[in-house]
Amino acid sequence: MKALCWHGKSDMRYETVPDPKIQDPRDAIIKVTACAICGSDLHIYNGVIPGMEGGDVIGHETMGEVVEVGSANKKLKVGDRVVVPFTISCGECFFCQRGYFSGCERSNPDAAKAAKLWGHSPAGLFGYSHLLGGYPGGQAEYMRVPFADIGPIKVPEHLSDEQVLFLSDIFPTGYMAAEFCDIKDGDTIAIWAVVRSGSSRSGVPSCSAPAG
Amino acid sequence: MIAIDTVPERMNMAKAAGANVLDFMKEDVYERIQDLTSGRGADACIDAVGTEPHTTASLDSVIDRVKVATFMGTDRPHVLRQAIHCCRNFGTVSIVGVYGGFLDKIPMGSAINRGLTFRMAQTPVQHYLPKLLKRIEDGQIDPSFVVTDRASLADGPDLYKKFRDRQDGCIKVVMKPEA
Repeated sequence: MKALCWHGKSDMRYETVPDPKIQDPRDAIIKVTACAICGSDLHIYNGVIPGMEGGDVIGHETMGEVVEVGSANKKLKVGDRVVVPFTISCGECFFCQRGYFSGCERSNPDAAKAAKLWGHSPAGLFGYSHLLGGYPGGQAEYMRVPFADIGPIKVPEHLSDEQVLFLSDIFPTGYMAAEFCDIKDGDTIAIWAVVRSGSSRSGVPSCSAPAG
Repeated sequence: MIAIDTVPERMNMAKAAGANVLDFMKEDVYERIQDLTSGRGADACIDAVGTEPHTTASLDSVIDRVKVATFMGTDRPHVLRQAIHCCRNFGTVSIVGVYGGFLDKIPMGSAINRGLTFRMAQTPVQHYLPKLLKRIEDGQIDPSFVVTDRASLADGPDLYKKFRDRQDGCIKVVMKPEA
């Protein structure tokens, strides 16, 4: 398949890479219908994210159609249209059970490396270095989704790709940023770097971007 | 809402949404926020920038740049420092911009003495999905308004450059494999 691969600072290439395969019975493979470039992908592009390797497929704002489902995955079926969260979560561990999906204890195979740098490891992420799982990202024709019975959300046909794609990251991220502020009537909220995401209407920004 | 940026297209979007817009390349961010909050500071400050702020906007961001280039530092937290200073006593600093390592010269004295709350995370997306999908379905919000560039996946390498360099008002890129 074709994918966008990182080869170093300011060096992205559109290349042929191996097709993803089901590796675990809970996996699914999606055929990507739309993907976006996140402001945080620019950190990778600019070469400031540690743990990247030449040829890594990046991208973590992705949606598509399910084309293959692992034998233990009872939630998805071929043909489902889904948006995939950028965070990979098992749904069963201490953190997932408490709703802290981005703290999943089981989705980062590079957990020992991450713990050395950060004390403990967070969840694995799509396309975001070999500190966070080395999972091939979604700026590609196809993507393998681990724990696909937990992460992907089915979306109705009447909504366009562009209306739902940002559920993968920047819409919930902007929403969370505002929720953290516990906003009350009359409050003044200052936001550095605006309009990354779906929400000027609700007054929310999102994800990271060079600015400020 | 006070929106701090310098990219004209993004500032226009924020203005259209009713925000007070502040260009950090042309104005003193701290002084403007003081003016807008009767000298008290903002109730909450959101750092959506993270580790790569604009490098010439202030002296401390130039120093950060040099330190990272010489392997003496891992991140360039200019925005976080400024957000702390601009936040009112007992206010909240909300961080969704991404940082990677060890941040230098964070004004913890300011934060502790004035009772600030720090909240931050890589988003637990799954937690938010059902309610935010419902908002889209109910027509309360249509996040597609941010999209400025549509292209095929094959054009990706050029789009990365265009997005990074903010060429032609590029704010958000969506690609399709078969476009």
